[in-house]
Amino acid sequence: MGSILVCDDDKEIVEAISIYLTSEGYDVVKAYDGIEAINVFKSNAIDLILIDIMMPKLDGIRTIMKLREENNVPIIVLSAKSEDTDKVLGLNVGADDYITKPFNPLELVARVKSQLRRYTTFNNAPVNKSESILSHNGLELNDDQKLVTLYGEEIKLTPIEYSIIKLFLENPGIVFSSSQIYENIWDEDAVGSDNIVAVHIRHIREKIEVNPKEPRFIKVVWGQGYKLEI
Amino acid sequence: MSTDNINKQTDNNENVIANEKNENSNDKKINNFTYLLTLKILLFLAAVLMVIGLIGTVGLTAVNTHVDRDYKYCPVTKKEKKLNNYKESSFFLNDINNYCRSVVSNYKTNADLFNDDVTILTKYSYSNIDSSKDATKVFSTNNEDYNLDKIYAESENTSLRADINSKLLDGGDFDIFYHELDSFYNSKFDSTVFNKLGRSYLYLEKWEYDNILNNLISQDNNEGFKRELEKFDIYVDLLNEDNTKSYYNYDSMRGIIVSPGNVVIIIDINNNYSENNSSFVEGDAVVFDYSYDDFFNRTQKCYIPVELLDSSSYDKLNASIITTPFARNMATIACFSILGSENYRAMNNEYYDNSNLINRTEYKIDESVVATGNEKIDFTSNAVIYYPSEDRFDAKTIKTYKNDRLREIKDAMLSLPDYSEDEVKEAYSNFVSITLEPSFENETVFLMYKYGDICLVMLFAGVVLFLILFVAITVLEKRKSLKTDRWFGEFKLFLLISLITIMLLIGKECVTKLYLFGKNGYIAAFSAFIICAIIVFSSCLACYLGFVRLAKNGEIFNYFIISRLFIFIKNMCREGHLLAKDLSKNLALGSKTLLLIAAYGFINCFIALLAGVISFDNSDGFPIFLAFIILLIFNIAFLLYKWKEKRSYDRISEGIDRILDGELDYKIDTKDMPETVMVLTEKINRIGEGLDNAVAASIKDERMKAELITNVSHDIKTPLTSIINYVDLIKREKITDEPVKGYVDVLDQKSQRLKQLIEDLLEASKASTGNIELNPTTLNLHELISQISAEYEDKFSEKQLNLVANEEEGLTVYADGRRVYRVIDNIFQNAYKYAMPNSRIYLDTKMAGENVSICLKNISEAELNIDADELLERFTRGDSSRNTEGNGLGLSIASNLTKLQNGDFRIDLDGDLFKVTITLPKGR
Repeated sequence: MGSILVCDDDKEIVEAISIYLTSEGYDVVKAYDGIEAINVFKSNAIDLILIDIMMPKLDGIRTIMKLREENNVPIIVLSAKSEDTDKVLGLNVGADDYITKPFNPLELVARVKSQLRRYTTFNNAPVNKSESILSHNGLELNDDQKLVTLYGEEIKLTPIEYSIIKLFLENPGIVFSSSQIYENIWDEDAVGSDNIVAVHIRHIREKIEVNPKEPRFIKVVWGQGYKLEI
Repeated sequence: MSTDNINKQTDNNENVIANEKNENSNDKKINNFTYLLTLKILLFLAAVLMVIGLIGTVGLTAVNTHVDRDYKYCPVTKKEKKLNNYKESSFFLNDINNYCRSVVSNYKTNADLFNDDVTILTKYSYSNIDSSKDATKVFSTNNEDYNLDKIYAESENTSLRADINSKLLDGGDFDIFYHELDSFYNSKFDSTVFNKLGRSYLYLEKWEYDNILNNLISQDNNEGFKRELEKFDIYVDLLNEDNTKSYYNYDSMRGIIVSPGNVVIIIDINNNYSENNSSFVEGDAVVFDYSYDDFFNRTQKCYIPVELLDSSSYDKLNASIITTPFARNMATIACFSILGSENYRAMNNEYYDNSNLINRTEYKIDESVVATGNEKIDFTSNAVIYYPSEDRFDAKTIKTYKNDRLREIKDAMLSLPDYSEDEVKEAYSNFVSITLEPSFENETVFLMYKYGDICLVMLFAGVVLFLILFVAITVLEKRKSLKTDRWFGEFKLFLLISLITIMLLIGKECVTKLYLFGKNGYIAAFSAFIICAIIVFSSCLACYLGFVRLAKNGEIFNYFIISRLFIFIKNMCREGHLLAKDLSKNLALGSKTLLLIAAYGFINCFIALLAGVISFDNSDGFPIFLAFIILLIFNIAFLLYKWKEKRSYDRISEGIDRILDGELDYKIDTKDMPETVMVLTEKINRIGEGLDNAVAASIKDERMKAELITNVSHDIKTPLTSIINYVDLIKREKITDEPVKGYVDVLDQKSQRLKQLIEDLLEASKASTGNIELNPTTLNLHELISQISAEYEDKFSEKQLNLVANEEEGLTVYADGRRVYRVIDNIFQNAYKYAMPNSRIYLDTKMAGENVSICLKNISEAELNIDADELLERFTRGDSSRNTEGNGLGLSIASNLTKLQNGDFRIDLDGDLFKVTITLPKGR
């Protein structure tokens, strides 16, 4: 399916990740510092890189910068640093995703999948999609079949949940307040809607997100509404 | 490349142009300087021109006056007027003539009187003798010398006068009263004269003579008195230092004419009589050839020609030939050319000098003429014409003048009936001419007269030029800052005025006195004066231009003490106004301090006023009144000062309040404070600084702590990752052993708990140090709460908790959405963790002034035996047993995050009721 370079100075963590990824069918190449990672990357065909920030010899940030000079392979940072600034820095130098330690193994795998999928979608053959298909980062909605799939797996939704996802997929990046969503979906005034919308959205997240507390698709804009993260 | 070259070239050109400009401006500067300097020199020259013109013109006026009287050819109109005056006054001349004749005829009949004893009644109240004591002394020394029969010497002039009068009226013998006249007269006055003369003199002052005449006229039977009078030659001292107006004298003269006896009119004109204090104002009368010297040393007397015709016009002088008819030797008629006082003085000087005196023989009347008495006057050698020397005036002027004079004399003589034309002609031909050399003093004046017209032109040209240049220089002058000028304007002005005054005084001396040193001295003095003038002029100009520059810069008002004083008073008034305003405001508020200050001031002023009022009645009140004024001013100043101090203290108080409120870097403004208060204020400001530093240090400590926590967290996280991962891996292995499965679950649970704990710890440390970046926006509170409550719906129902929301419509808050979510999430979590199952949770939102308050109430499951503030401490939990899920960080984080967003986080405990109130600023 693909070979993944895992780079961390903590061997146990590399080992654990490798177990998870191997079980998902990926080839895992291991490295324990930045220089090694670069060397390994040069000598192997790598589809994705998982890399730690705090490492001896060459730290993660500089390694990413070095790698990014020549290649646009998906890179996911795996770091104990959870500050916003750290995340911003990592993403800015060229990482595609940022996972903080301690991580949920399932989430890690899901993110790896997501990145790989995107990478292959963008770089390889574009998927021939009909107009009735709305797609976003692996989340697909087929309006003809009234079917929502995530990485090809079907997700069971209620009609309202379906409508909400459709609304967001049709308007990616736009913030909808609860009342706007209510008016759109229920087609009536949002008087006394209370937290119906919020509850529905929570349910949707529980179905499509790996980690509902850190949603990747439908994000909360606190005090304003919800939006589909681009 | 080509464009670059062009650019370079243009650059070069610009540089060249710039350089040229610089040079030009330098040239301009130099040009301006020379230009201004030239202007200034020109201004000076104009001033010199003006001054010379002014002196010349003024001098010309003076010369005109002089010359008109003395030398200048009289214009026709004046001449005509003169002649008219003759006609008007001819009656008087006729009177004189008639009387002369009658006296002359009487002379023969009274000839025996010549041989009488000498009786002299002298002037007794000569004003030069100030004290009677002196008079007595003089008198007594002279007593024997003069062999006087009887002497009256009394201190009181009036009684003496009465005595004389009574004697006169009684017709008794007159004694001789002799008094010293003055030093000059005295020296010439000796008895031999009297003996030689062998005649009786009645020497009277005009006033006494008037009395006698009045008596004479009023008495019906006055023959006896007349006879008595006729025994004397009466000498009337017409001119004395009483402020006798000349027309009084005129009247007296008329009286004299009709009086019996022989009257000699003595008119004292000597140097003691200056033109101003003499009864005879210059030009009123002219007296010649009179002196005591002359009078007593000669057997023949020249009498006194008096201008009696018109007291107001000096023109008469020029044409009056006065016969003096008042003596027995009336036959002697002196004929004079009448000259102005200037000439008279010159004449006198010659007398005194004993130098080339006017030939006296010309005045002498032949004794034979006197003896015969009825002979005609021999004009030969009795007339003198004075005229100015020819080198002062051109020959033509002198000739004209001479001819005029002669003609006038001729005309006058012809008007006398006794002379035939031939006789007159003869006399005329015998007139003697005396050339008068004008003094150097006058010489300048003459010169100015000569160039008078040019002077006038110079004056006008000078004035016009001066004004133009003055304006030009004023306009051209540049601005100037006050900083370069340290002296006050008044000081400069004072210096300048002193300089000018001194220079003018010196100048005056030069003009009036220095002629004594002759021409060379005069020139030297004048040169010195010019140098002085240059210095003074330059200083004046510099000072003036200084003022101009300051005025152009708008700083002139700061330059003068007076204007500064004015500004000071203005400020005082403003302060007073502020005080009044403040007073009225503070009185309403009942400010005790200000009331006290005001009361103090007013009482003081009142006392001062009282003192002032009391002192005003007092005759010596002025100093006290002055003291009152000073006290009043002092009090007002003190009041203002106190008030200023009070304001300063108010400011300090406000500043301390602000520092107390946590605004540690607040600085109290020390502007306008009194010095003592300022010192205090600066110290207070330093306290603020100190506190600020302390707080900064403690914040630094906190930060370091937070950093430590962050670093430790990172270090914990890495092994934790492995633990979680491997626990997960174990779980994936199909474990059949039930106890092992249970152990793994515990591991899983606790590792997750540890993870949460670390994250909360990090968050708490960041929140408490404020090390968080905030992006506040306006948030819809309802939206926010529904978003969060949606998350908790399941959790609450799991514990049978019922959320009762009571929200006000349309509330917004201004905050960072993520952080507010954290806050509300935390209190929800808190409620979820600690609320009594199967109870209600109340959520209220409402406006509270400018803020929005969010209030959450629930009933605690555990007993709350803890202080509300303690709950906000980190790691404090409601249940001291720590059995529940929480870690005690939630409320601390929520509280800190709220405070970071300018909100307030409060916990109230009332029994088991747990109440959280969050206030946040409302949306913008």
